[in-house]
Amino acid sequence: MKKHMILLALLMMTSAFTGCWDAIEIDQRGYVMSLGIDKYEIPPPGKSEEGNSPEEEAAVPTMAHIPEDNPRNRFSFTYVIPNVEFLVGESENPNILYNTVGENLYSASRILTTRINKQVFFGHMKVLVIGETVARDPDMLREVLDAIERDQFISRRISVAIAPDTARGVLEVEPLINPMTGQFMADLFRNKDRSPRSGGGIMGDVFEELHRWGNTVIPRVIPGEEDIKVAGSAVIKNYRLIGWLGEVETRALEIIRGTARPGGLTVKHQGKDEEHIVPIDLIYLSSEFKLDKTSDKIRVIKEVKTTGEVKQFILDPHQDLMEPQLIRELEALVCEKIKKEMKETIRKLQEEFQVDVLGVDHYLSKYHPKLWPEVEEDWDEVFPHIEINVDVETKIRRVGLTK
Amino acid sequence: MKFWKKLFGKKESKKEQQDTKPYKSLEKNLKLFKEELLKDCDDVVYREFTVGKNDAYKAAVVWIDGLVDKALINNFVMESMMIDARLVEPKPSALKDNLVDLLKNKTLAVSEIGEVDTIEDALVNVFSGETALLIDGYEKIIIVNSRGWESRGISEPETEAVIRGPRDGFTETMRFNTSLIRRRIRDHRLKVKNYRVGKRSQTDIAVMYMEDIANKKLLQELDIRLNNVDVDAILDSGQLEEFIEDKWLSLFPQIQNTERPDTAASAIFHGRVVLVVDNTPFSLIVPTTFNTLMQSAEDYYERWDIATAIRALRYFCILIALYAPALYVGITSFHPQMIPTDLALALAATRRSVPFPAIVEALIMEVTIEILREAGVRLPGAIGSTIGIVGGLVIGQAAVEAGIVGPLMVIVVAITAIASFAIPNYNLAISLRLIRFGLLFAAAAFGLYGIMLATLIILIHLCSLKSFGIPYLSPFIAFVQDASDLKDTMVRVPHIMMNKRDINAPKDEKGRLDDHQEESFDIEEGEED
Repeated sequence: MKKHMILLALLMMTSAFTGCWDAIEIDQRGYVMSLGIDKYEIPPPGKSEEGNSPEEEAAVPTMAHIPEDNPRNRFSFTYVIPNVEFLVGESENPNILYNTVGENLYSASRILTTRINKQVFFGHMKVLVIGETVARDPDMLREVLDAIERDQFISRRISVAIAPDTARGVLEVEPLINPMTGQFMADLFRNKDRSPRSGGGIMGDVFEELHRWGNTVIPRVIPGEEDIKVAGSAVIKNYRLIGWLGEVETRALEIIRGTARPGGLTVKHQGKDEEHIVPIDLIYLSSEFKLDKTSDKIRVIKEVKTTGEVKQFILDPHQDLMEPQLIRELEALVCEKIKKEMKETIRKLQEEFQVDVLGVDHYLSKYHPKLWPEVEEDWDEVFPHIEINVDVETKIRRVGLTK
Repeated sequence: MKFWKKLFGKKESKKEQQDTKPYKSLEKNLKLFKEELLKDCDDVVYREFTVGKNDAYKAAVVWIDGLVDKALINNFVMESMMIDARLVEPKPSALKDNLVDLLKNKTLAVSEIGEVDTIEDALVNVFSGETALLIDGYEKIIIVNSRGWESRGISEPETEAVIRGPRDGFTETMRFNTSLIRRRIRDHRLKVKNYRVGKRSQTDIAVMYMEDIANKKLLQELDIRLNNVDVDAILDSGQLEEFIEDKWLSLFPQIQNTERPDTAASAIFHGRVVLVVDNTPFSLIVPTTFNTLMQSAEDYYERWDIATAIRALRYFCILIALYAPALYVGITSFHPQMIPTDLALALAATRRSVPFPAIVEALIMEVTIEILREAGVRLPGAIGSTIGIVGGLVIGQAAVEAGIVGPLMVIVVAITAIASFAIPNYNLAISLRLIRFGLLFAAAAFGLYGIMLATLIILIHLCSLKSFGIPYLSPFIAFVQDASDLKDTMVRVPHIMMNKRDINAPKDEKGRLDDHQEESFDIEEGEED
């Protein structure tokens, strides 16, 4: 009995003697809400002094030192840490930005601890913004994404976006409605159901596609004066940014991929003597691929079914939206518009980028295991030449409140 | 373990109680009482008198002042013997041999009467409130039942109050208590067996059970344990509990106590055994499982769906009472990524001015609330509520403002305290209070990992625990053969569906409802459809 007690006491004591203590109080951590990654570029001489006005310097306490030009300086990282003093109303600055240069994310984060009195903590990271320069470099993007993936604290549910210019430029914006940039951007991504104008964006999904094919789309993020816009998308082929898709193209892509609801769509209806603008909210979508086995070429048909609600017509007692004929006309218009947008996007992806981010590869490998091995090896070459047809069916079921 | 052996191992010491035969002579007996055994016992009353037409026989009664019903002694003992007995003229021969029979059967108009052979037995009876009747020339002592002391009336049980349900509670008198149970069970199979425990206190204990439903082995085991209790005094059932429970090293109570006769009766109907202990309103119920400690009498009187919701809530309260402070410490110190970002930032903002690590913060508040509770028990009622306000509101608010603790910690502590009061059994609630501190330290050392480890240790312990042969966690463990026992756990199914007795009853005595009733119930339901 006594022996056991002594043994137990010794065991307990060992836990106190390991210098490795994980306990860090919640207020001792610096929560990196968003991380921006840019390629390090030698600042043009004199620019940093002139570029930042005194107020900006105060508001954004970055650049404690001007980085030397050094082969180790490959990346420029921007950490956005929310200012907890701001939350309790004791400070004006909602965010504290730290900018540091380094060879990789890990060592840069370690170096950052020489400049802040808190532990850099990625457990609450919301958004990763990658600068275009990094995305265009095949090695750098892969390095960064791997570091993000390996980190056990960074969630798979964070949002990822690519900035056409620098990531830092995006993160420096303090949106008026919610100055916490990271939180604000994360909320924007959550709004995707309202308007699918940005593609993908969930880190885990992006990783999944990158691991499988190396191709994906990542949303584009554009900084404004006092807001940030997430719209459009970057097309990634072989772990490298090769081009951009616009907002409408992105919507078409999302409909084809079946990853988002189609959202709103506006058609112009030609009445008897005037043209009406008719916005229609498409509220349900089923989207599936079909392989046409009759042809010897690979011919894929995309079937999209949606139902919608008319949001606006024209105030006219003589025209009634209850007339089936009119509804049929509107449905045809919607189908036509979606079809056109989708065809345009497919053409762009097949001819211009020659990359399959539509999910055709996914579909074929899943449902046609006999056909797929034949084309798997050189799918990149096959894809631009396959035929993709689009079949859209729309049912307008609601016309809103009338009379 | 040594203590255990000492308690229940083979007894080496010789039996201390000696058997002293009473003398034939009354004078000698009285002398023995007055000058030896009951010397300096000034509460003992002796009354000597003569019986018979010729005052031929001397007799004496002995009782303890305050424990007896004096009117009874005056009217039915003294009067009968001194006056009425003279009216009969017994034959001398009959008198010679059967004086006692005559007295017992023809003279004393007292309902309960007995005889003992030894002085010691007589004394115990006298101390219990009986009156000893000694007759010259007779070697036995007659015991006349004359108990009648001042006692508290039956009042509402304070620790187990209900909104709907009977309001009578046990009192300090064992006989009242057994009668309260008997009133609920009008069945000849309800047995009441008396024990005396405590060498000096000679506390009465009534073991009550249903002859056919109670497990025979349990009764044997209980008999052994009760007879082996070797202690000078049992003042409350709590003391007895510790002597007869399976593992007194465990934090968990293995014997349920109750102030409610309806709870006790219900236990008896399920084949459990109730121990009514004299001088305390708390009766013991064995065997006890974790599940029974979570049941409140009201669960059976309220509608079943509401009772089910309340049961589930109570189990949830156990989780809060155990884990809330530990989780707070674990999450703030180790795993801030587990809470929503907004909350994490708000916590970081409010904890910014707190100079202590979370564990110290939690300890300060937890210890404070324990002090408040303890003080609240000691304080007289009127001041008690004041202390609650002072402690709860003022200290909490001031501590936050002084920056010693964060506001969330105050909420956590308050919720924990409230949740622990929602546990129906106080016995269990206080053990959980202690375990909570263990979990708190585990969380401070290893975070959520530590909480999981501590939980596993507790679970392992609970799994190994038994109360009088019944697994403590039944019916949650091994419920394959006793699946129907689950009907009365986190849910309380309608009474009509609780047609089986639980694990305590023998296999062939499981049925509670007769088949006829079940059938008629089915038919009624069918008609409704």
